[in-house]
Amino acid sequence: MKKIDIARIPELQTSIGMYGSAKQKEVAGPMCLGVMIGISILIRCA
Amino acid sequence: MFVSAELTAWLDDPQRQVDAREAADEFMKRWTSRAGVRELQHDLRSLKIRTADSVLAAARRFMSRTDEFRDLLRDFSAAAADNPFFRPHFLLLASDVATSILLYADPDVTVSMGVTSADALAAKKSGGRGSGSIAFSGLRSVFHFLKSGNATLTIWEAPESGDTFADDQGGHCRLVERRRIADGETLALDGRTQSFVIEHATSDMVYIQAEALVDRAPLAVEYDDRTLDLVGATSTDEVSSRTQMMASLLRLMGRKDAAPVIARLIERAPFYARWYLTRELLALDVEAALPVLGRLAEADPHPEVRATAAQTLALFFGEDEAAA
Repeated sequence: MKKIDIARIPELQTSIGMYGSAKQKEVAGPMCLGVMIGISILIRCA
Repeated sequence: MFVSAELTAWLDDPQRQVDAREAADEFMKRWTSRAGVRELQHDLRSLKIRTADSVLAAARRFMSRTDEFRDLLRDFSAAAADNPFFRPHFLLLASDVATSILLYADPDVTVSMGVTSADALAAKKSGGRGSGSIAFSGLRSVFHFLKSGNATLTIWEAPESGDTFADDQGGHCRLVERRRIADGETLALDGRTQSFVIEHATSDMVYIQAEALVDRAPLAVEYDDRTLDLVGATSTDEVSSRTQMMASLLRLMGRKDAAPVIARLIERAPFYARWYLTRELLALDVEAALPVLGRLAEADPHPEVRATAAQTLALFFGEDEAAA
């Protein structure tokens, strides 16, 4: 079977970021990525 | 770095360091043995089915015991007055305008106490910042404002992000309401479709926040705060994101023996991870990927995954090979 270069494989038009990433800085709302990541680390280590 | 004489003396005195650690241990023992904390623990353990409603109801009972939080702060202040290097073992969570401590963590719900600085908020609002986002966390939460800071919030709504989310259907968020928050007020927020922005506060805000980690939307979604257009979405599923990174690593390592595992993971992954893993599998082991690709092209529930899989089949295998 042939080998396929991953760069040649089409991607979805809808791009979804990895958990904990954000495109822009939030403007003083309820979400804090640092909070979410911190909590997930804490729960995993508990 | 400027090191004060007091810090130097503390660093040179192992016993004082031990004392600070022990004081923090004692503090946490007092906190976890408080009636409110024990009741929350008991209520959560007693739940037969854990839903966002049930875990938030337990958290609300805990949050209504404001005496617990007042006592916590008094105890904290007294211990800190005794020893400036006293640090309780709460996880500290900080952003550029808010600082929180995590009071209670459970796999399905968390409770934190936070302070939003009115000064930092004003500086952020007046500073020459770039584009900002109104973020929809995908999680349901409850805020109880001990001190409202005389704050004005704007409440925003956006379409729910589901398993068939697509960029071209993300739409816009819209302003629903502008409201003043009062001391003692409780605000329930469904982060799957609702968000808020603190527009203005005249003094620091102090609040207890409970967040349900169950029944969450698959995606957290951001909208530009000026145009209100969709900026992007991120996964709320840490496991799928870690799986994606692991698959990339295995592909880079040429670990063909991992191909069956990756193929199995594709079956239960969310749509974006299904395609991510399929790309990795295709680059790792074409033979193992071909049947997966065929299934996705034929019957994947997400139209974009279906179309991209069909496009990939045509691109690399032509119609004859794809049919086989």
